[in-house]
Amino acid sequence: MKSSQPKKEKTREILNSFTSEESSLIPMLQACQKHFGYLPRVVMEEISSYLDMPLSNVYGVTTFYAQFRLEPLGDHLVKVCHGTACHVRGADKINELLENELGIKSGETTPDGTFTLERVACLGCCSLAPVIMVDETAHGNLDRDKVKAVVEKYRGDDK
Amino acid sequence: MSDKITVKIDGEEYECAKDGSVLDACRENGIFIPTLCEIEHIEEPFGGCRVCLVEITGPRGTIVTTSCDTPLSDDLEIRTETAEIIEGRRSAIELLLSEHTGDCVAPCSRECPASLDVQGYLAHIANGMPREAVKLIKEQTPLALSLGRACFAPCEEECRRQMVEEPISIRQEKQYAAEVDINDPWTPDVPYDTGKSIGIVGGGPAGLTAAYFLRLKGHRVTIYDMMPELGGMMRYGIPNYRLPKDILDKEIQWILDLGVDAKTDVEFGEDIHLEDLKEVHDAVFVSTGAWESWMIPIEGKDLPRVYGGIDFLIDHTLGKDIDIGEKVMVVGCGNTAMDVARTARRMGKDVTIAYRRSAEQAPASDEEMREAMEEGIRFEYLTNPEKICGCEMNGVSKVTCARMELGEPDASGRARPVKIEGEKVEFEADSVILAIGQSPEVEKLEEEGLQVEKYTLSVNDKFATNLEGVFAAGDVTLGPCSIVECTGHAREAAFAVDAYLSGVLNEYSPSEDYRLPFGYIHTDEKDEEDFADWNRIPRLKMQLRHPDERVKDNDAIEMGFKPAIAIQEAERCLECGCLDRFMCKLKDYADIYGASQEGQQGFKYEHEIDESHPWIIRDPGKCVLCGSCVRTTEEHGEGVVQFVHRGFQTVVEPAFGDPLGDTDSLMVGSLADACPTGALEEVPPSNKPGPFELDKMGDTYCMGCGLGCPTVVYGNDNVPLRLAPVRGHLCDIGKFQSIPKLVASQDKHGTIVDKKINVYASLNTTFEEAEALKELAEGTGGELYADIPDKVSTVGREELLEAEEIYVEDEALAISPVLKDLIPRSKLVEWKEDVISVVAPSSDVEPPYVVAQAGANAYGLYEMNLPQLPEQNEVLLVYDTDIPEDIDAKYIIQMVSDARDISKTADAVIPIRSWLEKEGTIKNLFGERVKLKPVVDSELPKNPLSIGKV
Amino acid sequence: MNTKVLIGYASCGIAAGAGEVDRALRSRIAKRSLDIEITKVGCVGMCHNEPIIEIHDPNGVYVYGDVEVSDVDEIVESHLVEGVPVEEKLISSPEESYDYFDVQEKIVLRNSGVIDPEDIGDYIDSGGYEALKKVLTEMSPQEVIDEIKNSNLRGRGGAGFPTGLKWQFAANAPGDEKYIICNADEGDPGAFMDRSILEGDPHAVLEGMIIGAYAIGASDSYIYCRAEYPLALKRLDIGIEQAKEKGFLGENILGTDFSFDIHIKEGAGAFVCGEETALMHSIEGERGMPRPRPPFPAQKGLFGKPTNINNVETWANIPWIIRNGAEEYASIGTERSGGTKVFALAGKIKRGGLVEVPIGTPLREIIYNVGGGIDEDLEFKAVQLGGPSGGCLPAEYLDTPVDYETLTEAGAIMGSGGMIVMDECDCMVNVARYFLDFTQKESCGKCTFCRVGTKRMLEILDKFTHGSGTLEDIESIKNLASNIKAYSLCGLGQTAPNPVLTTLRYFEHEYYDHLQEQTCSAGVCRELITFTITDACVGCTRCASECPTEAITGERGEQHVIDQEYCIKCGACHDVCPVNAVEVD
Repeated sequence: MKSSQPKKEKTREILNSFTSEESSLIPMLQACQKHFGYLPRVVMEEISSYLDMPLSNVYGVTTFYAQFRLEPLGDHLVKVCHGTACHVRGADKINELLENELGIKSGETTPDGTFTLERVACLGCCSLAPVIMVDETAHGNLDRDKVKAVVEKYRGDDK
Repeated sequence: MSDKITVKIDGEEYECAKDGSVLDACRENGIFIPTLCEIEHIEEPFGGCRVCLVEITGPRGTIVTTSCDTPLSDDLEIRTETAEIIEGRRSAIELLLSEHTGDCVAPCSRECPASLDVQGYLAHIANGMPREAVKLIKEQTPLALSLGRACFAPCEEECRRQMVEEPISIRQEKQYAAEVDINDPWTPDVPYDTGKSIGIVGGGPAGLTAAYFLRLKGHRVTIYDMMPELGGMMRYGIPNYRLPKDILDKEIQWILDLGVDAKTDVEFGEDIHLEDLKEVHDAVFVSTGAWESWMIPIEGKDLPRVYGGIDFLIDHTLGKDIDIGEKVMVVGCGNTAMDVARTARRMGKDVTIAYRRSAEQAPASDEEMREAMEEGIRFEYLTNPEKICGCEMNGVSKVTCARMELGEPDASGRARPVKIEGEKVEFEADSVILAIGQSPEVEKLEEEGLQVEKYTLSVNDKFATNLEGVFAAGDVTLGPCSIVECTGHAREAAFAVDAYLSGVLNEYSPSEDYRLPFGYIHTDEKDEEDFADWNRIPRLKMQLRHPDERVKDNDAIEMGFKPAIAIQEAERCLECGCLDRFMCKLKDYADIYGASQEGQQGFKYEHEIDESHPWIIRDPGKCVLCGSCVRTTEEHGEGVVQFVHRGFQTVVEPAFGDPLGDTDSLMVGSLADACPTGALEEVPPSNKPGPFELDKMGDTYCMGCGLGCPTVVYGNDNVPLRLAPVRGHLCDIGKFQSIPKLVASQDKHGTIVDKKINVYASLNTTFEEAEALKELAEGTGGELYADIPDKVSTVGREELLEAEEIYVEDEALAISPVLKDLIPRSKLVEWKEDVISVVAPSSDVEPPYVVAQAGANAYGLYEMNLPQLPEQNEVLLVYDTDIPEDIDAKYIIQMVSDARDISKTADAVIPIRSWLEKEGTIKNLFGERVKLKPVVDSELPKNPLSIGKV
Repeated sequence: MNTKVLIGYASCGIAAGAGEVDRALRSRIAKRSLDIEITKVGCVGMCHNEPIIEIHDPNGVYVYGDVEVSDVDEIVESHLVEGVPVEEKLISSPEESYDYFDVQEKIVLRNSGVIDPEDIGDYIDSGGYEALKKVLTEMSPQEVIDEIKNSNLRGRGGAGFPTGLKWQFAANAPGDEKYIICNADEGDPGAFMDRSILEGDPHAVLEGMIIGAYAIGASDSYIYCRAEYPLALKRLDIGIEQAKEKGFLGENILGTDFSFDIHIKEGAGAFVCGEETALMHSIEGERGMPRPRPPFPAQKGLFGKPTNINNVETWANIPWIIRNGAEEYASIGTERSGGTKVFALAGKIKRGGLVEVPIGTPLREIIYNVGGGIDEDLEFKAVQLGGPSGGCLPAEYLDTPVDYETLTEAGAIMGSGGMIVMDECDCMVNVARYFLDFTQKESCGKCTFCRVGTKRMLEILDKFTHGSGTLEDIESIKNLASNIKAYSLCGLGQTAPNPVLTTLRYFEHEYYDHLQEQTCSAGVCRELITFTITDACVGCTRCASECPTEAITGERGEQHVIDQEYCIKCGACHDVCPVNAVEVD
């Protein structure tokens, strides 16, 4: 197993820019996740000791919010919008197609670590429904062919 | 401005504290409102469970809302029991039940027709307390002995231990316990005389049971029975080898000794009529049983030497001469058929059983069928007698039977036997005994004016017949059934009669336990895989006499359990039923509001039960997410558990789902105290936890540390099992580690000698003890010593509570964890001078401080200014503590109050009273004197020094 | 007047490809060395036409819609160089203006799509911070509150509580330290008004908050904004910085004694944090679980101090009201609620986007006159208002004026302003299930009715969509729904059954079809439909190659067949068939 020391030190470094108040907890978690891509246990333990807050509180808050992940992400995060507009315009089908294309279920990461597929509530691009967002880029007005093309594009990125 | 406010609750006006909630106001005035998430000592309402609904007419009009979070205001009108409220509460509870897993009651108890607390009495047996087990059984039935011998034990069929390997020998365990009790039976008190009298017709299991419970309610009871002796089918239907008559006699005599009258050889409908009985009694209870054998419409059924099964057994018991020839065919394969066949076998006959269905379908128990086979009885399955051949003169000669095969399922769900055309078989037989069923003699009942439906006497759901004041139960209303069914049925009927006699029959409903089998939370989904990790421990079977021997006479064939075997077997119990059964609020409320687990159904998560903690079991499947534990642990500033995830997925658990056992908190017990269900459950300090209903034994002060927290002690049979805080919390040291394993007087291993004695006393020693010990030591030229602390507190409780800044050492909290509760987190600071410090005795900070002490009376002994114990001693009397290391003594006497502390190196050990048994004064670490009160009765002398004086 | 080019650069525009178009535009303009300023602006509301380029030249305003990178060169060459607009890409011109804005009245969106949201100068030029100056120099806090009261402005976050009154409570609450909060945790699926406002005109919100703080006596505040809105967060950050530089924010604002600060908190993904007490818990660093009220936030709110919470749209209205007067604001809208409401119009609509209309405008005008009617000219079936807390209204309600009371009476709610149009291909049982699934997943888990009740309701709806429901299930879902509504702890639970209740109220027959006839007439519920290939099939093999379960067989050039045993009803064949030969039954 890899040593957790570097993670610990990096976490400390990130935390030092925050005040040691309970209200800093969520911004701290956000900052750490931004850096590590997810929230490993050692990070939460560091936050717990920095804030002098029980670890269970840190864990309870982390698991409450959809934004936080306890597992590392794939290289590309594919968010499938399930907002109302997307729903009535076939978000379930888009989701299913992506599951088939990537060979994983929503919430999972491909074995090669390229993609993580995720359902999200609404990306707020309702006029372009159905929409997916890959990393920071939204792709709208999707149909089957466009979905496949998008996946191919990101697949190609890693080759 | 007044701090009181007037509110109207359910039509009455009450003065209430102004700043409280509606719930507080109701509670203050003794009006019941259910709630799962409200914690009395935490001011802010949580508002999660939504059970505390009330209707309020106030500024917002009339609304139904939760009472815990509705503040009081002027002119409120509160109603607590409208139909809408009840429906809302029921709905909330049903939703909670729908995500709840686990058994309230173990499957064995649920399946018991008399709802015996099987798990409870097995636990008592496992704990070496068989007499407690009998007591528990006798709460539900007076027939412990008979059931121990002759119950068909449906509990064993449901016993989940069979998913590991085999069910527990439950009936045999009961037999063991009941027969331990046989010669000096535990007997409940008959409280008072109500002056009412009941005539019970029929002294079988139902009649005896009704007599017992009605007598215990203070009524006068007379049993009328047509037979020469009481017992009914237990005497006349069940052979002696199964239920020995001497045992039955003792059971019946014990019931009669409660003051029950009996008149035998009085036949109902002949010698005595309902009219007469109604005249002399305030109520009549009909339990005449089912004494008529069924005959099948088969050719030859009227031939000589064709008998009804029950008639045969009765005649045999009465010692009549019965001619059944040499070859006997018994028709049927129920338990009566077994009794008949095996009785005939004991008469030296050649016995064949003919049964039209297969072996698997036979209603007789496997055990009985196996024993019958061992005894040389032949079984002919799928064989249906069609004609009994013979003549009027010589009686039966042979029986012609059709061979059958199994076809489509019939109404009972069993495959229907279908005749194989053309296949016939003949059996030579001198007699035929038809053991296919029996029924009540309904004609006689009708003649008395009782309403009958088909073959049984009709009663309503309150056990009342069509005639005023006449009740009935048992076989006469149910059709032929077992002892255990009759006794359960009759018990409930007896309560109905009692209600009738008290003029409240309309308020009667069956007792909670009796209702349990019909709709309680259960886990049917369990299978062998769930128990794959358990050690395989084979069932301990009761030894039977050898088949060759036992057919020679009619004596009992079971040889009984030895205590060690009974304990070992009872230890196999998986304890399926919830440990919180007697304290669970969810269960209580479900009962009160008629919520059932069928009301709402759907997906529920499967959770692992966490048994990693030494004293607390965490079962997330039973959690109602009321947050009480989370808020309690937050109050301690610990956060042992927290809400995790959200929505339907929410659980309460330690961080990362770590085992609870990993926590270093010493306040976990207080979380269990806060838990309204069995989700966090403390494990009592006994071999098997039961659960049992615990008795409140008394109040005293915890001796776990120098704080001396006020404590309530609960236990059973003078054995302390649970400590609870009087207010606030108890820490785990107090709750779990300070309960002594009591020493008994027979643990005494020596006497005090007449030499110079130095006494070394525990820091828990009371002032009174210390004085006596001092006197003893000085009387011999010795001295009293103790490992007294270096320092004691310089501030009292008030000062601590009022301090604005407090420094607290972790070590101090490890000694007295409850200190956490006294110090709000906001007051905690780093150490600096002049701040009140809470420290351990070894700390070197400057006063002012509170010193956490492990000894309850460390403060008191400190003040006595005792010297240091010398290294050389002639005789050292170690009083209620461990023998100090590096101390020389020629002779060491240990006086000990906790069996766990008994030293192997002491030359003599003398038992003394533990802190739960003694009276005395100590000074807590704030310098306050508190008086210990004995909560456990002790056989040890009050003055420990009087034991050992030579 | 110099020619000016605006490009829609809100999330919707970017998602539609505004980034590429912007780059192409800049590079072409640079190549031709034209002295033309390109401004990235927020969303003008016509999301359906994104990417949008607006060219302001001496002749007037020309709007190009659905601009692709390949169109850029032509537009630059023809319009900007030659001065000849490219007719076929134009959606609006001085000669023929777009009717999209005809019914609309812009107050909240007054600057959106018009000014550069990252430049405070643009905002100031359009009259920004005038209101703040007025308030600080001419008005007492109570006068401000009275003005807001008189404007009849009601909270735009959903419940519609009168804003002035809410401010009054917070102002009256004892305490030196008070907070205000801007709720920008727009979590309703299908709603994007707040995002567009923050992206298009962040200063309007900031100015509104500063005015509110002055009125209430707050010195500190938070904007609680979804992390999913990175662009909004960025523009808020820039806006706060610029406002501080200009002295609108910070110590001694505009030289007065009044000091005020705004912090941004990124939400971490929990719909329930739209609820005030949950939102405050979240800012405090806790799980976003609501707590019982009272005490109300105005008495005991953030960090235990009196707190006033309004949502983005509410705040954005404030400066306008102060500048133009309460009377003017109140004259728009209805008697009981003044002003306009922004709706996010989406679903099966021709022209989806942001719409701002006076309160009380009938649904029909919004859907048909602004939205252009139903996509593909299918039959209108329902419009869903108010997101997961709202309801679905049928055609009979098209002429209903959209205001708080009528919508509530009809079973829907104004909510934050999501407006999703549905056509005959939408199954109302499925829609109800969709919303309940959402709230069920977003339940915080604290209270019994919401946590378990919504789950049990969802399970019953699942039975319906699977065709295994019974008549008793209808009864039990109604009972459950009314208990959840009545006894849940917070608004999320109390409104969660609404989508189910309104669909049961207006479309009960669809429920009966599902459970009695085992049919889903909209062809949505998979368990109840079958796909078949008609003889229109040309045998192109496209369906067979798309089918994930290889349930479709057939020779090239011949009619294909679906093996129903293997068909998982994913609809892929239906979607790809070039000749519409796949039928749904």
